[in-house]
Amino acid sequence: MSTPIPSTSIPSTPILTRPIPTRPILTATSQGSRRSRLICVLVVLCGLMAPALAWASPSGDLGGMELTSPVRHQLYRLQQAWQGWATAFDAGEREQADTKLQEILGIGNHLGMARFPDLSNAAAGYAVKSARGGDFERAYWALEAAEQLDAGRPESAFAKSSVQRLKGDYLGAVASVFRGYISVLRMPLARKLWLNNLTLWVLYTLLAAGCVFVALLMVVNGRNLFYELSRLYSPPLEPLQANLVTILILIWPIVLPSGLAWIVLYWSVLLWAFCTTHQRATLVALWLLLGLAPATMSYQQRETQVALVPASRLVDNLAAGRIYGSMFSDLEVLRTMVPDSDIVTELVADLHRRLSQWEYARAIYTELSQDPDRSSVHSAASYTNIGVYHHRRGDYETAVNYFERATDANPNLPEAFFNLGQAYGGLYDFNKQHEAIARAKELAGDRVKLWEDVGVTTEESAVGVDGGLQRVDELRDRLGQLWRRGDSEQSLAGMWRRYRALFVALSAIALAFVLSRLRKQTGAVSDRLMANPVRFGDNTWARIFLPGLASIERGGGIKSYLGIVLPVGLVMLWVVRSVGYRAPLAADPGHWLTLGFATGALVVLFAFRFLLERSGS
Amino acid sequence: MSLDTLEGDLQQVQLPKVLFLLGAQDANGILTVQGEDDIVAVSFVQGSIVTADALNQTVEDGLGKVLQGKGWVSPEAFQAAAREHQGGSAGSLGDLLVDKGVVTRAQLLEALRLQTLRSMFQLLTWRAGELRFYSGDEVSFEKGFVPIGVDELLLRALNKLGEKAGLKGSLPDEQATYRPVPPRGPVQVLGRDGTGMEPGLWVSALQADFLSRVNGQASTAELSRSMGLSRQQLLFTLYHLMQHDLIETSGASAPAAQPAGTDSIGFADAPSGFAPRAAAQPSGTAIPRPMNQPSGLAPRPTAQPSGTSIAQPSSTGVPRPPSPTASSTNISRAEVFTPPTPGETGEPATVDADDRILNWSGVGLAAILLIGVFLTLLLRPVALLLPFPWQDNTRNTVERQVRESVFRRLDRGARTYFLVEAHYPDTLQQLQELSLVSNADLKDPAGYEMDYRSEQVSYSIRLKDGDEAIEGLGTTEAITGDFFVDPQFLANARTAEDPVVLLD
Repeated sequence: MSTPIPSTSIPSTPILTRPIPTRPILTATSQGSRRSRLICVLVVLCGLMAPALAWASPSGDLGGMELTSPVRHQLYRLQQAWQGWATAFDAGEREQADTKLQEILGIGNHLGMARFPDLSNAAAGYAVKSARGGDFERAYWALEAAEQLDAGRPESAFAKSSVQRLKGDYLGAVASVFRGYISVLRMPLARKLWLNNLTLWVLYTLLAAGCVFVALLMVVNGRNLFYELSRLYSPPLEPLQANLVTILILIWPIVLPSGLAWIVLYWSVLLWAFCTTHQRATLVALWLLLGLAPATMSYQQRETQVALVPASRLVDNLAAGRIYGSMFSDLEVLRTMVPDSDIVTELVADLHRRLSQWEYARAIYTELSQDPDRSSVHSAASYTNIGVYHHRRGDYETAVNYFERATDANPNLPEAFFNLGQAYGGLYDFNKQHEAIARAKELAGDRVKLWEDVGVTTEESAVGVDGGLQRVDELRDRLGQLWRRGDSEQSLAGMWRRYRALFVALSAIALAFVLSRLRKQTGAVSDRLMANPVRFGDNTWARIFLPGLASIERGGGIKSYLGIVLPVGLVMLWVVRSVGYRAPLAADPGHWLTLGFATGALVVLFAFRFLLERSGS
Repeated sequence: MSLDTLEGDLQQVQLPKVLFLLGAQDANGILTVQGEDDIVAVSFVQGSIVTADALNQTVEDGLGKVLQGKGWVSPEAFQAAAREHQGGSAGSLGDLLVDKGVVTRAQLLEALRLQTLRSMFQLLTWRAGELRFYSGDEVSFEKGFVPIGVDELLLRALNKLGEKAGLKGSLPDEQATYRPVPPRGPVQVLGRDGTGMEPGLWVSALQADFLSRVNGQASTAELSRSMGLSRQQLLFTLYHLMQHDLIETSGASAPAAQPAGTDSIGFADAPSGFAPRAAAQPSGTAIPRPMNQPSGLAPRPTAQPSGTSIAQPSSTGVPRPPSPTASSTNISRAEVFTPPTPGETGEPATVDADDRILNWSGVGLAAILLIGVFLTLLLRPVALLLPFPWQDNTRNTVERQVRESVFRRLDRGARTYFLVEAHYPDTLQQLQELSLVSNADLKDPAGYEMDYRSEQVSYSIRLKDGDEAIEGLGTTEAITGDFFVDPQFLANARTAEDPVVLLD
């Protein structure tokens, strides 16, 4: 059972040394009246803070977040309950463990965040450990606990897969892995990294397939290129000398830094003259892809960086109602990164409110609501939460006042209307209550029904607004801007660095065109060999194992390239699995599924091509 | 008499012989053959055939059949291109097909060559009609077209049509050793002794040279090598000389004297069908004329052939005794018709001797490229995405971010491990045992070695390049700040009294 927190136990004046945003004060547009008003507020607040500061213990500021004694006590109980669960689990006392589990969940409800990803992962770890010890019953027991601590986590599914695999239930293991991957896609942070990996895979596949495409063009047209080059200096050179010189001319870029890229580019330019229109179109597309890949990567890096900062983890977990061990440390990191952000300030206030640290929350909301630079929509959230504070204290008149300010500031905020109705109810003004509730139902009928079900007492019937959490996208943009600023990519030099590859690609197109024209004009054209092409595609095995070769010999471009993309894409699954971003999960199903899929698909693909060849299709 | 005066009746003169004369004398111009149902114009450049246009069959018709027969173009695609071409598209249909990417230029040229060969085969079966040669230096033909040598055409026709093409005999054995046979009359060299329209035994200069070297001892391979002959030239030379009983395989009995008037391409008889041409143009013909067709088509006085017999080469003075050694290996017909070798096309023989190198050059280069791609993916995959030298910062950033994500993954695993075991793992492999991380997570994206060290409440990972630690690329983590595992985090709360509850 959770410990009730009587209002008298909460310091009547909050500690506001850190949560108060400094920006509204410092950026008060230097207007005398506003500055005077803010100074007055500060003075009053400092006066109010004095006894609180005296009350607060030195450890009241934990990880950058002020916590009241009751909250710290709840966290301590949580720690103890987990240790109790672990001890009971090790001892095989299921009943005791279940009791501890319920205690943990109860504390979570009291803290306003009843999901525990760390503990769920640990329970999943216990499951694997038990399975490795051959105790599958206890393993499933731990898995159940993992689900209760945070339902739908991919780690639980992956752990279940490991347990099933150890038990010999391979089909079930595969199914669990699939469930785990689906869960990954439900997690915003992991999904973002997964999508970034998808982008990486696509880029790897397209560029590697481009290299293979150029290689196959060289297989088909290399002899013509070789011959024409040899003719340029033979005579006077002897044939053997001419051949050696040609080889050197063709492979010299390998000695350059990043030689492989230059070789691909160089050969594709030289082979341009021997290509069909379709093949040229494909080469142009590949050059442009090579040119635009850095810009794509740059954008992706920004997104990845935002996803990797601890602040993103904090935001995602808060939004999902999860509490985790390093939450307060992450919050401190976030506040350090964007110290002047009113979104972070509001986020802190939201967290205080969720932890039932209402005094801290109210002080911050009040400060935010007095910021003249804030939009009315954002102020409406702050007014609503201040109103909820007064509502919980039974001061319905003040609450009505704030809720009305909120509805004025944002006439589309259902929480404000709902709370207004509840406050009118507290004042026994039922007509106005019905009117306000009706308006709230117009705006969000389903949610209003839910709120009505949740509120047990009049005081608890008002609902808060997560103003900070609602603006996490804005926050991510701010973090992205920080990355951009640090990256200095906005400068001219940065732009040039980013788009230089595109310039090279466009130059390659121009050079290929010019060389092709020169070749025709100077009579360097030799169709002697072209009239008698060597058709490697006539070889059955070459057709089977070199998709795209026969098509290139027939002059195909995009079609042959697409033929190459599929097998290359499967091979790239191996590569990206090893070099891609790792989702921040405390479990991994291993490589076997990806590798198995890629290998199986490759076998099926080439078997299909073999059968097609045999059937003459 | 010059080639300008060449005309005659197919019933009296064999077309193969005419073709041989034109080929052997590097003729330039157009040979028209007016048959019963059609008129065909065959263009020659330096004695080789470059076009064969029939009046009743357009180039496009024949081209379409060949391309479709080869499977290089679908009937629909060809029809669409043909309609577009008829709709007023500039250039030839072939160019249009290439421009639209329907076929490659190589395919177009190959198809044109095949079509020309087919037309010539058809023409060789004609037994009635009149032929006439218009000499001229400017002959239009598809650029890049590989000319068809008369020797190639006649060998192919011999193989495909045999006597239907007016060709007798069979392919000679190129492995055998030959000896000369005393000629029945003076052997005359085309170009030097006349144009071949006069009576006598006519051979080309090359064949005369070959004949002078045949001695019953030197193998054909040696002779061919010493003269720089292509296989096709060798076969045709052997065939022609054998048909005129100028050579025989060593050890063979002396051949019976061939009756005069043979209808092979040998011309022991006078070409009675040839007649000096009148100045008048053929009536009713729509044959395209050469751009610079000479105006004077009237017969010009021709020098009487000297009829000089071919003497043995004085330089060697080697008698030509019959040789007992003769290869009996016969060559199959299918083997004969290989694509022309470089030397036959008149292009510089830069790489003639090693076409094999040419053919595999592309494969070798492609292999180099693919090995490079493979090694890049193995050693530094990100270099495939960001390959250029100036992208080093971006590459490093990608690797740093991937490394960061790996460290976060490891940290999540290590913290979970701590919750289970109450301490950090001694090795990273212990995380793997609990399925907290995978094997790939234990590898740095840039390939550096991970040096993991753990204390009771903290751990560090340093990256090492060999034995040398790399500064700034590692991470250090501790339980500090994690209220689930950090005993100091809530130290105050542990001793704090429970909240006081006040009662009214």
